[in-house]
Amino acid sequence: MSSQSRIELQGVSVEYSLLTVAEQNLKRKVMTGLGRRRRGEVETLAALDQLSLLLRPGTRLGVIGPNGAGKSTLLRVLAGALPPTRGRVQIDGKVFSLLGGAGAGLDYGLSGYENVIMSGLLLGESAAAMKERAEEIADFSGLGDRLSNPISTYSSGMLARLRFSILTSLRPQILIMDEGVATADKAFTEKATARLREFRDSAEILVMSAHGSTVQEWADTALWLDRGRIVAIGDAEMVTSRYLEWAGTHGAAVDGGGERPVPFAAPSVGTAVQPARPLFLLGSPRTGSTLLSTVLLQHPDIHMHGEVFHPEASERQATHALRNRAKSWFDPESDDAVEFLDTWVFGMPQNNIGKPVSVVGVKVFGDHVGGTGTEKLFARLRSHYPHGAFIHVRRRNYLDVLISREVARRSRVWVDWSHEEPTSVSVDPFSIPVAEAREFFSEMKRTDDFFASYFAGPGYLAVDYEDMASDLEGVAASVFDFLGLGACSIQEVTRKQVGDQQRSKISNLTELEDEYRRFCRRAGLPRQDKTRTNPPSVNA
Amino acid sequence: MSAPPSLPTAVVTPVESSLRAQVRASGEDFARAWKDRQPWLIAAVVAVGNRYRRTILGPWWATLTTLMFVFGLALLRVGLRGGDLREAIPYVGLGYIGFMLISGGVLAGTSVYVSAGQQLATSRQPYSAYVLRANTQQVLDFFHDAVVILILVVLFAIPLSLMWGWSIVALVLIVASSVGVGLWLGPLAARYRDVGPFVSALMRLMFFLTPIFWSVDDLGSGRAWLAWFNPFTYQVLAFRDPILGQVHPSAPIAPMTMAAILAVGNLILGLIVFTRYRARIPYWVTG
Repeated sequence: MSSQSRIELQGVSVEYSLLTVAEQNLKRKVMTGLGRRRRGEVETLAALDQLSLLLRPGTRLGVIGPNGAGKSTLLRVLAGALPPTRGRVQIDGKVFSLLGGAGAGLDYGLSGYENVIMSGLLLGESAAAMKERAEEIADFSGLGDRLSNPISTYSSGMLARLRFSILTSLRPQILIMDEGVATADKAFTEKATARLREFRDSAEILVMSAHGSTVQEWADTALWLDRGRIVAIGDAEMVTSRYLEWAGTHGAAVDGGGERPVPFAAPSVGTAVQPARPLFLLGSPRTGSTLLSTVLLQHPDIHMHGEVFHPEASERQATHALRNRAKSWFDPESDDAVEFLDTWVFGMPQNNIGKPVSVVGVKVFGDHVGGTGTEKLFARLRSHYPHGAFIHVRRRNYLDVLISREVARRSRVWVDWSHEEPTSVSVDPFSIPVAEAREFFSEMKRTDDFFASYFAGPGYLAVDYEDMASDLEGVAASVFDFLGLGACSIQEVTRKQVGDQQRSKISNLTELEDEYRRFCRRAGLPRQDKTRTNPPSVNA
Repeated sequence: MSAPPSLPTAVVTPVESSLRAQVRASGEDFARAWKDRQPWLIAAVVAVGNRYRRTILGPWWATLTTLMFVFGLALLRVGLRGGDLREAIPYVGLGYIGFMLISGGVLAGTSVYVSAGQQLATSRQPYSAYVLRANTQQVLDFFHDAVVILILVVLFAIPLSLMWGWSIVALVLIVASSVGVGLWLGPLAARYRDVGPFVSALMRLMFFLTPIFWSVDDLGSGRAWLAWFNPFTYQVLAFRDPILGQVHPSAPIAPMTMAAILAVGNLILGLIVFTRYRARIPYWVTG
């Protein structure tokens, strides 16, 4: 349960199988042999391609794009009427949608008045409440006495007016509409636009698809969709004019071929945003996670947090975390950890650095992989972030890891922080008992095996320290490619030094949240406060 | 300050998800259909009324149609094998009404999703509600036919007995079976559009292969399998026999037992298919 309307899509894909007549025909199935058709052979059309979107109260979003861009599909998914093929859809609040053709959802055998009542019942209103509204609906729609006639006698414009009037009379908190529903004739369009403005003022979610030029009349944010992908989301005026410009030079051809518009970042003005893709660096300490973090940080579209759940501030904000002997202080079995990530790390319109990025990463180490609680946390991460990227950093040579760890521990110099020449490290020769080493190796192996098998599949990438050491540029290029980002040259590798003097111990989630709140204030970020107070319950 | 009202939270289960998630989503689908039952119950009532819009007799046309049909079939039965019309009319009447409930359920099953079209594509109604609505419609149709039963009972002075309770049990089993059929045949017919016409052709044939206006004994022992091979035979007999006080010792399985097996079997199959393919239904209907 939540107290504010909110719709979140994470890595949502909708793939229609191209079921031709021949394909849907049983005869062909029987002729070719049942089940012989392999899955990969079925031609599919991606109406939405790994799309992420976050809508919060105050959203007035116009979805634009050529025919076949996936606008209607997106609206159906947002309304909860179409389960996606893959990805996560969470809808907080009651959605009212006006989708499909002029008379969709109306019963042609009934009168307008009876349809008012039936539509209300379908939306969870009582018949009595709808009877009270009937007069207002007759008035607003301009149908008047025609409301008692069967709607089969209505024109399509009248049907559109009736549907719009019924739905908006219910004062929906979330309204999702297909293009053209509110544009019956000029007089009604003006009335409808005025009513849509009321929804903006009552700070709820309004999403409409449109062809372009009219978007700015009622929307502050525009989403340009092209073949299921977001080209841009942001300032309605800017995105719309860029779209119209592009459509003017490229025409409306969309059927598979043709040039794709290049995605660009538009200034964010409203409360509808494209959330960054969550990235998790999985691994164990001293296996190259800092090295990879600093590489990732150099990409303009990536922002990396540290080990966000670490009690030490420098470990959270910077790029490195060391194995902490203490148990994790947060409860991996609760939803709080995931909720914290959603609120303070991934679910932000802008991240800590104040500019929109495509990927936001955190480190999650497998120190306690053997523990059921930690395993449960990983299960939560995987199911909660289906679109997440899981990069497993590992070092094939476990002996190197052990020596590196011991050297760091004895020298008390964990990592070099400066851009200067590395501080010299002197360590007396030391020995490690065989039993201890053996135990360490088996623990490392267990952790690596766990990640490799648990996260295997799309969205999982293993990166070896040894490869980074020999070809950092090459590894960086393949990681950026894996994340679907453009190339970026690797200038330098920043390192950090963490002494023993760091002190900002955090002991619970509230303190951590307070710190994030302070951080945002200091950085002058427009941080909205936490919107969800309870972990989301799961139903339908 | 009072807290703002809580809003419902929905997590939509995607097509490609774990079996566990599918089972949970399917359970929630049924729970939601039951919780918000008013819309589809009313829609079923409205749909029955709609069919006879602007007629004078309204839904009673269904009753009249049945009466006409029963009388004609009873004449045919007497003409074919002799006997008394006073016996033939209740026999044919009950058989016909029972079969119409069964075949109505099966035929509705093929069209629950195919005919839902736009509504399925644009609303959040739980998918199980479409099956429940279709079967509610069938039960309402049956009630109009039930008037014919009442007329037959009065006209032909059929003695009331406690055995009639078994007929009611049979009706419940038939409806349960229809719900199960709708849950597996609905998605199947949406996926393969040839299934609908095929089932409709099959049901026309089954009308003649089911002992409605003929008796199982008429077939003789050599061809009795023709009747016992047909599952609808058992369902019709389970409903009709208790009222007419008949028994069929030649049945390989007692009709009532078979009706129960069909109900349970179809429900299990229905739940499996529905759970597995639930999220694909809108893709198949609109794709």
